[in-house]
Order: sequence, then C-alpha cells, then structure tokens
Amino acid sequence: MTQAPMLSVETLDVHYGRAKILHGVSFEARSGEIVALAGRNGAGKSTTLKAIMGLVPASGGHIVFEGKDITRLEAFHIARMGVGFVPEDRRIFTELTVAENLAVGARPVTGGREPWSVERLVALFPNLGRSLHRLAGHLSGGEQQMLTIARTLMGNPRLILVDEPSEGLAPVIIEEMARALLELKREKLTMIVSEQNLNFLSAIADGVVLLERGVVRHIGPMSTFLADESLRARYLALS
Amino acid sequence: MTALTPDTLLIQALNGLASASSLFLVAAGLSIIFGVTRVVNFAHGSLYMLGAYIGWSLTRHLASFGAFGFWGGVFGAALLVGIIGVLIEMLILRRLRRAPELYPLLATFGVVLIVQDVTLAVWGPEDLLGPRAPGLTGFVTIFASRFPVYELFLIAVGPLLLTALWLLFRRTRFGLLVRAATQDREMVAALGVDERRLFSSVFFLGAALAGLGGALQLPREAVNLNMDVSVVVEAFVVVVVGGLGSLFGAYIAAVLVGIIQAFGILFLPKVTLVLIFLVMGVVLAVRPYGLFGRVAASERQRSPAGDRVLRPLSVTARVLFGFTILVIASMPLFAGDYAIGLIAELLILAVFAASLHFLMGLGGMASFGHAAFFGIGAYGAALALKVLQWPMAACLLAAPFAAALAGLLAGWLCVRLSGVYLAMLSLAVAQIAWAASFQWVEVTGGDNGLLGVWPAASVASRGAFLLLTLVVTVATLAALRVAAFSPFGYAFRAARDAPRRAEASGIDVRATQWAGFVIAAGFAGIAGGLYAFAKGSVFPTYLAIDKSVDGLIMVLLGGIGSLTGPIVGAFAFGGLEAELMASVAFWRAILGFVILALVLVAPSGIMGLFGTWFRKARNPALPA
Repeated sequence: MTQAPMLSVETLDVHYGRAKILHGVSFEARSGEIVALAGRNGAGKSTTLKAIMGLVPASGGHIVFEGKDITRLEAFHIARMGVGFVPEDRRIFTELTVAENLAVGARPVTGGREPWSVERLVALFPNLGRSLHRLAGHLSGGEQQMLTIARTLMGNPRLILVDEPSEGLAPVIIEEMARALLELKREKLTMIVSEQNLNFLSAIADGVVLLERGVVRHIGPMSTFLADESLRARYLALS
Repeated sequence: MTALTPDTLLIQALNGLASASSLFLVAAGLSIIFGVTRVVNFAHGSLYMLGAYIGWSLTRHLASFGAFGFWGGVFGAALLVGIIGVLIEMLILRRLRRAPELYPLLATFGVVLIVQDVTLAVWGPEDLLGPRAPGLTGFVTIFASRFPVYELFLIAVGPLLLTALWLLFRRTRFGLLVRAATQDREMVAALGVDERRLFSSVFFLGAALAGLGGALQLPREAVNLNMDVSVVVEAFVVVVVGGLGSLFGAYIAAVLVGIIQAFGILFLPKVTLVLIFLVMGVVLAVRPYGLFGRVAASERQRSPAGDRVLRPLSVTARVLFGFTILVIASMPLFAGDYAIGLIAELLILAVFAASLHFLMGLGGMASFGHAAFFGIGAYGAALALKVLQWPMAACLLAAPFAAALAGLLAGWLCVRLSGVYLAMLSLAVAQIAWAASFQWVEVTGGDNGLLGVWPAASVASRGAFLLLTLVVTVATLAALRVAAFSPFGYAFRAARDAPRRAEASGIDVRATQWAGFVIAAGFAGIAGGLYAFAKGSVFPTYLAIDKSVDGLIMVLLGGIGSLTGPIVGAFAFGGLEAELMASVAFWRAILGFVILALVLVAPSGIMGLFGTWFRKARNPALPA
C-alpha cells in the first residue's frame, strides 16, 4: 500500500491536569478502513478519540488528517474538515425531536459524494423513520445510539470516530449496529471504533490498535490479532 | 393607602402586569445567556441600566422626529446595548471559557463596577426624566380610574416578545442551535458549529433584550444609577422561579413577581422587600428546579476547585505565616491608628472569606448570600451587649451561635439544591434576613442600625483590639484548616466531587453538606461579631448583597483551590477597596478593572498563579 493514510496520529500525549493519560500514541487509518481501538476501561480509548476531535488538548505529538495538521484546531473546525464524532454516552439532545437532532448535525457535503439526507438515514436505520417527530429523550437506548450515528453522518464526514458503540446495548441491537457500520464501510467511510466487545470488533474491523494504560501495545490486522492466542489472552483478561 | 375596591385591585393587577414585561425582557436575556454559555451574567442589570441611559440620550437627540424619534431611540438603544454585550463576550468572557464557572461571574462583577462609574461619569448623579411615548401619552378609564395607555402597551409587549422569541427558537437554525447548545455545547461544537459565533450572537440577543427592557422604562420611571442591581436581583428571582431555560416559565414568574409587588405595596407595605424572596424560597423548596424547569440531562458538574488537590502547608508557607503573624502582633509598637484599624478589619474579612471558602471551595456550594450570617453574627453580638447586657466575651460567643442557628435553618433549605439554584436560594434567604434587619425597626433599629457597640475596656485601645482580632483570626483559620483535613473534611469534599459515590460509600451527603453549611455560617458569625465591635455599630448593610458579593470576590480573587486563597483574597480586595475609596473618585471602575485584569491574567486566583509559578520553577517540563 503506497497510498498516504487518511489520518495519522503521531506520538500523541494527553494530560488531564497533572495526570498523563496518553503516552506517545501512534497509529494510522487508511481511507475506507475500519480501525478498532481496543483495550480495557481506562486504557485511553475515549481520550484518543476526543484528542483527535479537538475536545481534549494534546500536550505533545501531532494529528494529521488528509495531509493537514489538525492538532491545535478547535473541534468545530475539525468537524468542518470532515471528521465526525460519535460520543460514547450518546449525548443526543434529549429535549429536541429526532428530526431536530439530525438538523443540528447537518452540514454541506464536500468532494462530490452523495450527501446524507434524512431519507437515506432512515433507510439505514429504519427505527428512526418511525419516530422523527418524537422527542429524542423518549427513544430507547438502541435507537438513541442509532440517532447519535445518524446525527454525525448528517455532517457528511469522511472519517468518523465512534466511541464504544455497543456499550449497554442488547445483542440483537449490537448486530444491527454492526450491519449499519459495515454498510457505511461500503460507502467508503473511514472509521475508528473504540470498543471492548471482541465479537463486535471481529465482525467489522480491518485492523486493531491495542491500548493499555495510555500506551499502544500492538498494531496489526484483525486476522493476526484473532489468530494470536497470547495477544487475545492479554486483551480478553478484562477486569 | 387607597380604599380596596374592585377597580383598585384591577388597576394594581394591571400595574403588576406592566412592570412584568420589562422584567421579563431582562430575565429572558439572562436565561438565554446562561443556558448557552453557562455564564451567570451579573452585569445584566447594568445592560438594562445602559439601555435606559442610552435610550434617554438617543430619544432626546431624535426628539424632533416625533414618534419615529422615540421608537428609533428605543430600538437604537437596544441595538447599542446588544453590541456592548458582544464586546463584553468577545473581550472578556471568551477568554474565560476554560476557567472554572465562577470566574466569568467574577468578571461580570467587574463589569458592573465599571459600568456604574462610566454611567456616573457620562450622565451624572441626578435622576433623569425620560420622554413620553408619542401616541401613547393618553389615559383610558377603567371603572372610575384613569390608567395610562403606555402601561397597557407594556402589558402587551411581554406576550408579544414571548411569542417572537418562541418563533425564533422553534423556527430558525439559530434557535435550533441555541436549544441544542443549552443541552450540550461541546457536542454542538463537535458537530461543526462555531461556538464563538453562537456565544456572541446569544450575548447580542440577551443584551439587546435587556437594553430594550431598560429603554422601554423611559416613559415610566426616572432613569437612575440604582437600576442595575435592583433589576438584576429581581431578574435572577424570575429566572430561577420560572425554571432556568424556560422562557414561558420566565414570563409567568415575571408576572408573579410584578403582581406580588403591586399588591404587596397595597396590603403589606411593611414586608414588601421580603415578599418576593419569600415566594422564591417557597417555590424552590417545593420545586427545586423552578416552576417550569427541568434538570438538564447532560449537566456536567464541574467542581469549582478544578483539579487542584488540597495540600498541607509547606514549610515555606508555615514560616511565611509565622512571620506575618509576628509582624501584625508587633504592629501596635510602631504603626499608626489607621493602619492598625485597617489590618484588624482585613483580618476579620479574612475570617469571613475563609468561612465562605469552606462552603464554596471544600463543599462546592457557592453561596450568594453568605453575608447574611456575617450580619446575623454582628446583630447577635450587638443585641447580646445592648439588650441582654452580656459581657463582651459572651457577646463574641453569641455571634457564632446566632449565625449557626440561622445557618441550620437556611442550610436545611439550601443543601437540597446545587449549582446556580443553590446560589439563588441562598441569595433569597439572605435577602429575607436583610429585609428583616431593615424593616424590623423595633429590634434592629432599622436603617439607623445599632450604635454604641464598644469593646470592653481591656481591649478598647486599637492595639489591644488588633491583638484580640489576631488571636481569634488565627484560631479560626487554624480550626478551618483542621476541619478541612479531618474525616469530616474528607467526607465534605467527597460529597462535592462525587455525591453518588460518596453516598454509596456510606456518607450521608445531605447531612454532611448541612453540617458544613452550619459550620460556615458559624464562622461567618465569628467574623460578624468581631466586626460589630471593631466598628462600634451594626447596620443592615452588613447583610446586604454587596457584602455577599465582596465575599465571593475575595474568595475567587484569592483562588479557590487553596486554603490560603481566601486570606490572600481578603487582604488584596479589602486593602485595595479601602485605599481606593479613600483616595480616588472613580474607585469602582478602577476596582472593576483590577478584578478583570486579575481574572484574565490569573483565572485560578492569586494563589493559583503562585502555584503555577512554583510548579513551573521546580519542574519546567510540566504544562501550564
């Protein structure tokens, strides 16, 4: 592969106050790839995604998106460049309707792709179509998670950062989620997905970045990771 | 007092509705700004006042254009005040976005002081009579009474603007973004919305509404320099009673307040001052989030202390403290009466600030009415001396008891809430206490206060009184420090940082916070008792909102993350204020600029600034 990565994270450091959370994290994501950020609670998965999005400041290192250094840019700027963020605790606007939630996320498309519309999103997440005019706070947990992804897609991003999409969802919903993410992959959307659920990851991800206490322990294709007993043992030894 | 006929009642009700409209405009602006930016804009009353003054000038200049001149002046004033609001946001508040949430509040206090002096300098101290509204100068006859047409017009303005705002928020993208940002502004930014532009436009809208409210008052009342604080306190009441973020609630609450005041004057002129705060207290006690308020689902509580960990005093700090105590103790040997008196007063302020810091910094409960306990302590000591004829030592003991007793009652109400709601309820409680001291003339002497509260002969000299104050201060501050590091202090701080987890580990969060509230009130009472003897008199101003604000400024100025902060803040603020008041005409503006400068340069307070310097000096690799 000679193609330049869409996103490269280079020796990223993040501090919360005086505590150092990320220690020189480096990895890359190529266009159209799904990269899994794996690791236990507190490994630094969410922090990595938030740092890419500009929601927590990096204290060292670089983040380069499509050839441009975005390390010091503000979140809204990064979003406008084509990066979408799907937060872990859903964070939908509960007092707005589903349609209004989608409208907040809407941004014009760049680069001659077919823009996302409410109709296309409803085709992807049929449940949302039935509740467009309900308050988002009245949706079920699974529907809220779908809405979070749909809202981000309305901004027509080329890369989305998805934080713990399967957390707290029923198995049948997780399957639906995996199906939707694979559909998005067919649309050539690049994704970085932080996740603890290995079954879910193995169904969707191309590559794995394994984080442990803010340090990258392993990077490689999903297939190698699945084949390597010792790596999986380390990863699966969850608390 | 007028006879009570059905038409007097109707007229009073209409009067109440007319004043509700302006109040609603101010409150709506306050509520919108708080919702999106989380800034409690104390300067909102100043924007209202500026609206009235600017409107006065514009309508005078445009008087020759008749109706066009008047309305042009009113809307021009709203526009200009909106621009002033944007400037305040861009030049000051924008730089404080990452600071703990009380620092923007402190900055807006600075703006209040500056606007007061600027208004005084530009328009002078006299009340100014505004023009009447062309076309609306007549009267209509309601039953047998004449009622001004302009008042009827104002009554219509409230619902009209409520509808206009509702349409703005429901039908436009700006409104959509405002509603979304009110819930979760970080998420809105992550979706590509430029927060800065949103904040500026929200400030423009909120400030313009306040300016409009002020300018619309021109035909009703004389423009004066006291419009700012009185209206902002009422607007806070309205916003909190209505429920933060609910415009409809704000309108209903504005009507409630307007009507209560109109009828209060008629039926209960003796307790008018207490009445609206009493209503607010009752509403918040029954519905903690206001009549139409809801708890924001994604409200992320930030500890006002940030992530600074409380540490025991270092050796250097101990030496510095010891040295300071020695210098103060030896002052009677070399210093003049003025300096000795000033230092005694600053020590008392330090005790007051430390007691508020205990509540705010350690307990995470920002009180806007802490001066109530200072004042109740002062009255307690003074009454014990004058009425019960107790000796001075007993009076000084009576002060904290009186204050703690009041704290027991107030705390029971207040600790059920948190954040801005707690701040507002504590303000209400304090205003009730202040109004009682002001209007209960038989006991408190009302406005004249209690005089002749002189210390016992043994400490009558300034030097001896300074030593007494020093001993009490050191003992008090040491006691607060011990309390902070005691098991109670840990539980108190745990209740601040993670109430649920504290609860789960067996801490009774409510009871702990209640106890902390009582302790803080008691220590404020100690300061109040000493202050009564230092001044020889007690006045209702000791309980007034200004005094509570002084306390907040001292605590925030010193820095909330350290126990030394309030002491440094009290000396810095109290000393500066005393010096400026004595020597400079526009001392308020200078004080305001000093506050702004400190907040912008040292958003974690003076002690926070020192702390950063020290850490940097020791380990240059650390990020700021």
